[in-house]
Amino acid sequence: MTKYILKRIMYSIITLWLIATITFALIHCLPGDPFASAKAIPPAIKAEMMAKYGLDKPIYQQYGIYLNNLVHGNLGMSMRQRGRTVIGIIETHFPYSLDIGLKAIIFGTVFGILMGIISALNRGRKWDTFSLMIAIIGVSVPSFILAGLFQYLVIFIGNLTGYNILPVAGYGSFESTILPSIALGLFPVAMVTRMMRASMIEVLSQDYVKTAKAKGVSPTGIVMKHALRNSIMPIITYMGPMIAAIMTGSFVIEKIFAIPGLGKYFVESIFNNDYTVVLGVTVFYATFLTLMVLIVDISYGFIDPRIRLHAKKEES
Amino acid sequence: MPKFLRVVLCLAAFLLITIFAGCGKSGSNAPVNGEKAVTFNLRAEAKTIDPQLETDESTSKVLAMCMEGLVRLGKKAGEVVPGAAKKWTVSKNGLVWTFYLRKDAKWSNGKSVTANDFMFAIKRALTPSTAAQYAYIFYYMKNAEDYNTGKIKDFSKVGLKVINDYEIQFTLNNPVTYFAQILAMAPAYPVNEQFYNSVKDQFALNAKDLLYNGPYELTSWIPNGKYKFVKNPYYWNKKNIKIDKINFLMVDNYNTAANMFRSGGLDMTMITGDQIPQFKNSKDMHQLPSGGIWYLQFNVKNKFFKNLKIRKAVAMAINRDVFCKNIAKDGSLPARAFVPPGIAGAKGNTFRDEYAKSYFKDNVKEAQKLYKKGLAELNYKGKVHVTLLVGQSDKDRKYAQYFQQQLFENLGMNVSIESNTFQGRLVKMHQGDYDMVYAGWSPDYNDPLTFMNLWITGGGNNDTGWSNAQYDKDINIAETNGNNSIRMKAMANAEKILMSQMPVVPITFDYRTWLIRPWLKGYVIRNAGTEISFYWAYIANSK
Repeated sequence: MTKYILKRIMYSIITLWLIATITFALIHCLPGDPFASAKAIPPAIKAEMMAKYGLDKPIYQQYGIYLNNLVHGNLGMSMRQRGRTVIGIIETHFPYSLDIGLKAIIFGTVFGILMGIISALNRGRKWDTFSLMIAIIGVSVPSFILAGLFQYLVIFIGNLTGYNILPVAGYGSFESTILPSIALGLFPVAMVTRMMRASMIEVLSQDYVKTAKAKGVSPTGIVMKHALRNSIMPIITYMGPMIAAIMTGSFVIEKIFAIPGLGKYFVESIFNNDYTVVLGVTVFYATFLTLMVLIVDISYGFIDPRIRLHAKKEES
Repeated sequence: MPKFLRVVLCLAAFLLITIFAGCGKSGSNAPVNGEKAVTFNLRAEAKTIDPQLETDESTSKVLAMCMEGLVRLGKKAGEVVPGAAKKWTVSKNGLVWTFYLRKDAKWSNGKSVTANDFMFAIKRALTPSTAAQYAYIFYYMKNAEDYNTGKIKDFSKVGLKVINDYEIQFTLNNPVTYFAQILAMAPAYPVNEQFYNSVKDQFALNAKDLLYNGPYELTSWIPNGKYKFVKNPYYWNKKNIKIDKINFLMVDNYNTAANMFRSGGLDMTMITGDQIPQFKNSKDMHQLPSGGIWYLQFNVKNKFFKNLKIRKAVAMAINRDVFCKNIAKDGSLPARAFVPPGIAGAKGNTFRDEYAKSYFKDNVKEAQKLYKKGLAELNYKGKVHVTLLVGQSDKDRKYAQYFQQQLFENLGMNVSIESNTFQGRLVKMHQGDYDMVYAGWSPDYNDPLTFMNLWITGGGNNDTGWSNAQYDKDINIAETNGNNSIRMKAMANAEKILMSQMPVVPITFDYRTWLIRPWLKGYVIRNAGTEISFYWAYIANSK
């Protein structure tokens, strides 16, 4: 296992270097510079600003300085938000994205698993149809459309009753995170529901489950003790890409719900040619996602001991 | 149903009841002053709260809440009223401006605001290593440009002198009648040197890392989230500041902003022309001039647009009344001159009141004649293909399609639309790599010069390739003459030249549509300078 983890870490470092290099090249291909403004800046002032951020140096030198700083954990200063470090920006804004993202993941996973189980146990009946409906909505309707619909629903109820059941947008209380988490989490709910349903149906048809039924184990016992752990593997496999999709796809939800998250910041920095923020956040996201995928891969071994045994047999 | 599922459903029901129990009343009744903050939608994050590094509208609005210059903009258009300075004098030749500071003007730590604070701030703005983008607003001062560009190293040569703790004097290169408006801008806000040295690299990075001398204190700042302002107890005029708490939110999605207004989450926000039908019967909706102009800008080196008749034909072929009524739908007015209404003139009226309201008419027949003659002059017989460069928003594309349709139907000109990012457009414009671009301009101060000096030969914003010696002469008079009547006449002449030569075609004078709570009064929405002021705002019918 240790060898495996070390090998994965090494591959991750190479991946991150490649991502940093490609992003560096791409951002410098964009037209303009971080200081472009509709109101013309006198050339002398522009030259001062370019020198301040090292943009007057040759590109290969800028790349070398960037890599050296990266290795030392220095992501540089924002070129548009004077005085703010990229690390400071990530520290300030990522917790908001993480909060919404985590809630969306928990909502997506928990509800998805529950609905998948209900669906599998009530195959062909009303609950199964209901879960299929939710799955289709979750997969077909983009999250930003759902976000808008939720807002209108809250306003409609507010106009009807005179009470706001939830804040329409903004970030503050727990209530203000409910709508964005649901809007972001409905797609995972849909995917997890269908995966769980299919997996559970297959597991429930296994002989050992039939034996458990015959022995008089309760339906709850069958699901919790015998079926759940075996059915959950596809969900674990999906967790990696799901986390990636949620964390990187949160920009639209953050924009609609006015959440001061990192996704919204990241996209704005691309439009503003804020090189350091774009590079820093890209490397940060890449590191985060690589770590998540690694954790998911390691967790396979703990959830299904057969994977660990199989790996040991292959090594020997 | 399995037992565990019944448990889960009960828990879900309990959670829902808990959430709904916490819900609040919707609606928009006047809040009790001080209990609930008045909430304004700033839309975009301020790039900084460092006054000398201000470059954008959002920063200007945030700083105007909590800082104060020697002067501030008044309620009326073009008006400048005392701020940290109680009065000022101007020498007969218009070159020496002396400001006398109030002795009761204080920082938010209780210390006095002195002339040294303004000296330190302006010196900081002009110091090359600060790399302040707007340092050039101080170039009116003697030797300021030379100091900022490193030609001289001794700041004492710059036309700025502290006479004593409460007196500061500016010496200008030329008489500048609107110089007071310049000093109302954020880069001219004071900075206390002692405080600055105590925080150094952290200066203005957080709410606690700035001292405030304005009507409000910034008590909390979540970047891209919320600014919280509370009345500054040390402000010299605090008894006339009527609202205790104001919050600025950053909701850049217009639909969300409108929804938040409906649900009580915002008390003042802008909306787009497309949203107007939703609120057209609402008393909360107000359409007000922004002071800006939108225009088509030509590259006069283009093989078609080098011809004056073709440029004029384009100007006359577009129906601006239909555009404003059916396409923009945001209250914008048709523009047939370059300086917008509301910009100050010489005799206390506006420039537009004192000079021609329009220089041409929308006239398709005349446009077609000119177009034909223009092509004949160029000896061109084939189809005309040009590209119109616009932004990426839905609004930009919609407008571009209208212009495309108008020019094709009325002139037979084929226009391709190229949509590009803001940065991309700027690069293309600066490189002269465009045929025609849809652009806009908003004023820095309330004087026609902020519009007219765009098109001088070699000017940093003149990407048209157009040049006119008489125009340059007239603008030079406007920049250097201390007599306002002479200045305005010169700018009127310059505008006449501009409109007769048409390197730019005015389309609309910009209006913005606001949703504002009926109980919020006394706010000022300006057409030049910092757009919004809550300085005189109050809550009507507050309990």
